[in-house]
Formats: sequence, structure tokens, C-alpha cells
Amino acid sequence: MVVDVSLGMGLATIGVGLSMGVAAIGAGIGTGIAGAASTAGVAEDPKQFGMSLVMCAIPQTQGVYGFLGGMMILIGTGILGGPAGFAAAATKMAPILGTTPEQAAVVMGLACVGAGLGNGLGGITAIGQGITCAANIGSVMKNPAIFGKAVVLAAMSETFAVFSLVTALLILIGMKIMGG
Amino acid sequence: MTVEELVTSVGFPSIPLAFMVMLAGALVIGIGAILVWGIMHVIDLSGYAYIHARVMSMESRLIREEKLKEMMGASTLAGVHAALETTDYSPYLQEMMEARAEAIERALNKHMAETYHDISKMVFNSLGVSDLKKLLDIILQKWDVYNLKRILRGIYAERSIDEIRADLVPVGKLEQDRKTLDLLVGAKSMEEAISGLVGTPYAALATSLPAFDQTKNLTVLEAKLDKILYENLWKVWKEVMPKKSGSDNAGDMFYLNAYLAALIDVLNLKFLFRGKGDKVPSGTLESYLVAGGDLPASLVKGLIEMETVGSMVSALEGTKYYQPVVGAAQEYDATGSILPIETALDKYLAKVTNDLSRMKPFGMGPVIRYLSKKEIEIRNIRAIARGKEVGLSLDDITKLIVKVGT
Repeated sequence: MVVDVSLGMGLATIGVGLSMGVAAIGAGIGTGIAGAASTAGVAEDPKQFGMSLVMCAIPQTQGVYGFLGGMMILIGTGILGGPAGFAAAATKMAPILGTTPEQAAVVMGLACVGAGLGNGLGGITAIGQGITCAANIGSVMKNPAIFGKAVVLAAMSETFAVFSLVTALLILIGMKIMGG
Repeated sequence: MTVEELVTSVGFPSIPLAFMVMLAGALVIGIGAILVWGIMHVIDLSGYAYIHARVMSMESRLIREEKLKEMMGASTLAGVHAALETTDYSPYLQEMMEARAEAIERALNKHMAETYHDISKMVFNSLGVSDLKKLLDIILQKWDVYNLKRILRGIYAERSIDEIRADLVPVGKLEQDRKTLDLLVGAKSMEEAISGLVGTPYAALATSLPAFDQTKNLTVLEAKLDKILYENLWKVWKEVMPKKSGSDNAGDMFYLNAYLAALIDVLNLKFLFRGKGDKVPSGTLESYLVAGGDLPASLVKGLIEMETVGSMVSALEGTKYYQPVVGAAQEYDATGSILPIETALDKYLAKVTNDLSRMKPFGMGPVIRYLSKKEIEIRNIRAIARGKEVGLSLDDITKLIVKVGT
């Protein structure tokens, strides 16, 4: 039997794109703001390159979470195996949902949009984190002793990105897209 | 054709699923629009982030209290010179190779000028030609006033052209206008110098010439220069502020307004205290006060009419200037010197600039705080160098020092 899963598969790939793309916007801007401050810091004192690099790297983690979220969707829905892989996942899910495989495919796709969008938006926290890191670069240059505390303060924004990733993971597990 | 048939014909398995897909699409587009709007507002922060990091780094190199103590404790001027060798002033001192207060002062002036050039270039490159840049330009004009005061003092003391030139700080618009500057420095009389200011923002100084001719007191001209500068600053600020107060920079504007108002209030208060201490007539005092600031006009009018410094301090009760001044007033009672009150007001202004920078780190605050601290640092070094040269005691020099809290 041939199952038409094109709509569901299309939605799931939008979820993947949102997860990575939106998180990349956040991480990119956050890193850009911290990077501007890093350039200034290194221009004043080249010895501060190491510290500046750490501060620039912190907002990048949200991009990694976006990538992880995207990978979870790709693997869980079987998209990596092509339409046949996605159709197999939808057929497996249909009895659980009590629907046809076509309908299950759309529901899976919508769940992936939710998971991907949530995870991607979590990546926007990198902008706030980049602002904190930029301020930290100035503050640590003024008083190097506060480096550890500055990193802890910068990590505060990270919490919400982690919550977003975990929520995305729970959506995929709850929908039996992963681990089902 | 029914709705269900229409929905299935475009590939949707059912109406509810079609509705959910459309809802998801609308959600993504809506969030996308909000994101673009938010990002447009946030992206400008990178310019301020650059400025903040550079200025904080420069601030970390300001002379610390221990170094100031080392300089104050030096037995000779050569000791002060040696202590400066490990600071940002070192290259300028090496250029001069002489441990004289004048040489140190010239090194300080050169360093100050380069600091202002660096900051100005950095703000311009990072923020472009913004309203805040206009404000910085006006703040930079205070070096025009500083240089003009130096020129007038030089002419008054009949110093040579070379001596006057050596005193000038090469910053500000006047510095770029070599023709006018040469005319001013080469002037043989006050009248000639002041007539050379025609076409500059300081042309109004001519109105104070009759008062100077009567009293032969330079303060008359210097106070008029301050009045021109700060009234111009306040005017530009009042044009910039309404445009920015509803913008993303509203917070910055609030603290900048508090700083500029305090700057003018402190200037007026110092002038009033100094004037009362020197028994300057009320009418003269009034004509040199800068219009603007936060102090109510009725209070300022009352202060002008007061007979003693003590009553002026009491009149300030209820204002933010009372606490800083009241402690210093006791010292005034004991010594009869206005200096402790002036220093207390300067310390209060330094605190306001600190607040400006702390409350809005990605704004003009850090720049203003750094420049303010740099000026205080230079004033401290100058006081120590001059103090050592004329043999002031450690206690006397300590009283002249304003701590900047680096």
C-alpha cells in the first residue's frame, strides 16, 4: 500500500529548519555582539584573547542545541531514510493515534513544527547571553578576578535554551516520534 | 463541491488537520515578524558593546590609589616622575626627559588630547553620526574653553607665545582652526584676543570685556566662557532629548539628563560658593550663572542673595547636593577655605557619572565616566607635581586629591 506522507514530511522538515535556523539567528547575533566587544578587548590588550574567546563561545551553544533539535526530528521521523522512512514511521504511529497513516503523518509533522519552533526560539536567548558576555568582556578586563563569576552570570540565559531543548525532546518522546 | 472535498483535493487528510496546519503557518509567520522587529532593535548594541569593552579596558589602566599614594609619598618631583614611568604617561615623559612640574603637565596634556582623539574616533566609528555623537562633540568643546582660558591667562601674565602654546591641550575645534588659534596666541592684549573670537561660538565673550577692564579680574572672563559652553551644551541636549526619550535609548537619555543637569548644578554651586567666599557682589554672580540644570531657579536666586557660606549650605537642605556639601562645610568653618566644598561637589559629580555608567552600560555612560575619571586623574597628578615642586606637605596634597575609585 502506498501512503501519501508528503504534507506531514514537509511539515516535519519545516520543524527541522526552524529548530536550526531560528537558533542560528540567535546564536549568530549573540556571538556577533560578544565578538564586537572581543575585538575591542583584544585591541586594547592582546593577552585577553583567551578570555574573549570563551565569552564569544558561550552564546554559540544555542546554535548547537538548535542543531541537536533538528537532528532529533530527522532521526525520530525517519526522514533520513527518505519518504519511505517517514511513511514507515507514520504507519507505525497510525494505530497509536487511531488514525490513518496519512493523518498520522500530518500530526507527526505538526508535532515536529512545535518542537522545532520551540527549540529554535530557545536559541534566541543567545542574544541576551551575547549582551551579557559583551558586558563581561569589559568588566573582566577591568577586574580579571571576576572571570569565574562573569561566566556563571552569562550561563543564566543558557537555562532557558536548555529548557527549550528538553521540551522539544519531551514533545518528540511524548508523540512517540522518538523512543516509540 | 463540499469543504471537505476541497480540503482533501489540495492534499489535506481532514478539515481539523488543515486548520492546524494553517494555524501553525500563521504562528511561524507571526513569530518571524516579531523576531525581525526585535532583532532590528538589538543589532545596534554591537557598537555600544565595542565601546564598552574598550573603555572598560582603558579604565583598568587608570592610576590606582596605591600608585597615587606612592607619588604623594615621593620626596622629590623626580620620584613622581619615576612613579609615572610604569603608567600610560610613560611615552610622553620619556620624550621630555626632565622631572619638572611643567614637563609633567605637558605630558598630561598630550595624553589627555590623545585620549580624547581616540575616544572621539571610536564613538564615531562605532555609532556613526548620531545625536549622541553631537553631544560628545559639545563635551569636547570644553577643551576649547580650557585652551582659551590658558591663552587669556598667558596674555594676562605677559607670557611668551611659546610658553602659552606649551600650555595648550591639542583637543577641540579651536585646535583645528590654526588661523584663529595663531591669532589668539599672538595677541598683545585682551581686547585683541577677544576680537579674534568673532565668528566662533565664543564671540559673546566681548560683552564681559568692560567688566574685566573695570576689575582686571580674569574670573569674569573665565566664568563667561563656562557660561557660553555649558548653556550651549544644555541647549543641544534639550534639542536631542525629546527625539530620543521615546526611543530604545530612553534609559540612556534619563541618566544622561541627570548627569548633564548635575554638571551644570555643580558648576553653578562651585561658582556661587567661590563667589561668596571672595565676597563678589550678588549682581555680578547672577550674570555668570549657567542657565539650566535641576536646581529650581527660586533656590538659585535665594543662594545668590545669601550672606554666608553656612546659610547657603543650609538652603541646599532637601536637594541632592546637601549631603555631599554639609560634611565639607565643617572643614570650611575650620579652615576658611572653599576648596573642601568644591572637592565634595566634584566627588558627587564623579558618583553621578559612575551611576550613569553602571545603570546603562551600553550607552554613553561608560565613555563619560572614563573621561571624567581621566580628567580627575590628570588633575590629581598635576596637583601632586605642583605640590611637590612648591614643597606642600603630604596632608596638604592629600586634601587636593579626588579619589576616582578604580
